[in-house]
Amino acid sequence: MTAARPLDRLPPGVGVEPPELSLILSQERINDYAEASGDHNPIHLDPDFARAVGLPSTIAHGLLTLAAAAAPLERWSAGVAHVSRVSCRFSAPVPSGDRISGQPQVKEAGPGRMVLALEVRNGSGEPALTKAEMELRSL
Amino acid sequence: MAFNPECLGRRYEAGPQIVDRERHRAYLNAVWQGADWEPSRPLATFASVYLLWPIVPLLFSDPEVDLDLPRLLHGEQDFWFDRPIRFGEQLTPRGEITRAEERRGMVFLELTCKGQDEEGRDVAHSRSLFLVRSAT
Repeated sequence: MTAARPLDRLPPGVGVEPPELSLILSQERINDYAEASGDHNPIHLDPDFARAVGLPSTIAHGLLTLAAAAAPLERWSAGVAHVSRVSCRFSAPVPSGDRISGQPQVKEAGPGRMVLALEVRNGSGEPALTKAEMELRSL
Repeated sequence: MAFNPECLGRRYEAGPQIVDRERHRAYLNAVWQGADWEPSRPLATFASVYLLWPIVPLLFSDPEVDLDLPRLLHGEQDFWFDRPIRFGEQLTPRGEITRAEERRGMVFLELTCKGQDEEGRDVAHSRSLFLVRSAT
């Protein structure tokens, strides 16, 4: 049995800074996510419906925004750690076609464990995800 | 019928879910188009597919809760895991309404889900807070 690998310098070879987030949540991507996830709520898919409930347009699923922000960090830590927790508050909508952006930060790091804070803004610069965190534990 | 705050404690169970690699591939392609990466384990947020989403339609269609779905927002989400989840394993999701209240015309509804593995252990967890805006 091998001892758990420490995460205080995780992950090796990629530097200290987690990868920056910058990508567009297009309607095509939202449609694909609806198919893949099974969440066909019309506020994500039907512009007329979205406007009828007071939204300017269709909006991305909150869970798509979270997943898009979290996936690159999972790749960043792959082979060294697994995600033991991921959480957030959905604070502002991300209209379809918006670019989401952010720079994750290492919030805590210690033997066997690391917590990343995920800052994600929508195309208007509003915080789309707040209190967003990902906890990693060594494999 | 209006929202029923006495729905607190209502429970839901879905059939066993396979953590399916093919479905995960479609999910990853949607989440991260052009990702040149095949992870060895499912993304953490893939729990939305095998744990949360099998339960949510049961909640949303429950006449005892009677949510105003067009005005529903997903306010918070938390997934956590007691061990790494593997492709091909089978988990059985169960959900429970763990908060149900109405304040100043806004409904706060918390759904907590657990995914039980084939050994009977709860290994994947989800907490979702849904908000329903007032119609006025």
